[in-house]
Amino acid sequence: MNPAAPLEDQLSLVGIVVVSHSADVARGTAAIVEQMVGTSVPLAWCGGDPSGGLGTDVAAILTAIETAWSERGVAILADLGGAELNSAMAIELLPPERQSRVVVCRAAIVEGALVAATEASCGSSLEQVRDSAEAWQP
Amino acid sequence: MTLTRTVRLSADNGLHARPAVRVTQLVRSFCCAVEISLDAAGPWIDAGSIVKLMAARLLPGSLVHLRATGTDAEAALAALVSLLGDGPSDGGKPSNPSGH
Repeated sequence: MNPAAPLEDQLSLVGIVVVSHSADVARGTAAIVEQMVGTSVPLAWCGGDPSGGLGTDVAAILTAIETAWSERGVAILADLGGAELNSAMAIELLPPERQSRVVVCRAAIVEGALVAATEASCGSSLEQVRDSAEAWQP
Repeated sequence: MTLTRTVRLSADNGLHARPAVRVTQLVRSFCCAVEISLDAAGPWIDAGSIVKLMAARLLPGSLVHLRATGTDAEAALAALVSLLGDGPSDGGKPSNPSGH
């Protein structure tokens, strides 16, 4: 942790965003995380395209990032290539000062979200959260 | 200061995902380093690592060894034994091995 960071930033927890092609998968993943890890970690999810079909939506991802926003950063767990791509596009649309504080984890969505949220709940940095999520191997 | 304890995982406490999350959060709330092993001779794994705990797949009824190093080691181990075990007696039975 950066000792120069303001105290309120040190006390906040990294946020988690779940992005799936399916709203059901995203909602269910978030439910698992919330039940197992608790509600201390900022958590948001989005899934499906704007017409209700399968897909991901950059605007919805942006909203989810804002919902889960933390000064410590936000880790995104995405389920398939398009979700990762649209997550990267959403990050590019963030204000410049926020872009470097959002990362997409290369991890399985359910296990990755659970591991990332657990790590975040312990007060870990964004880098530690991402490293743990990406370290999990079934 | 390194302290060790043993505890038999209760029927509800194979270290599948949910208990593994609880153990990680508990261990990380203390200053000391805590490790867990199925054998007093090791290998020891970091009980503050959710990834390593989930990978270890410790089953309900297993006798596990805990060791902690640091100023609050005693309190950490007491809290862990309370979380994982059936109570002060070593009465855990290896039932419901799936634990889910």
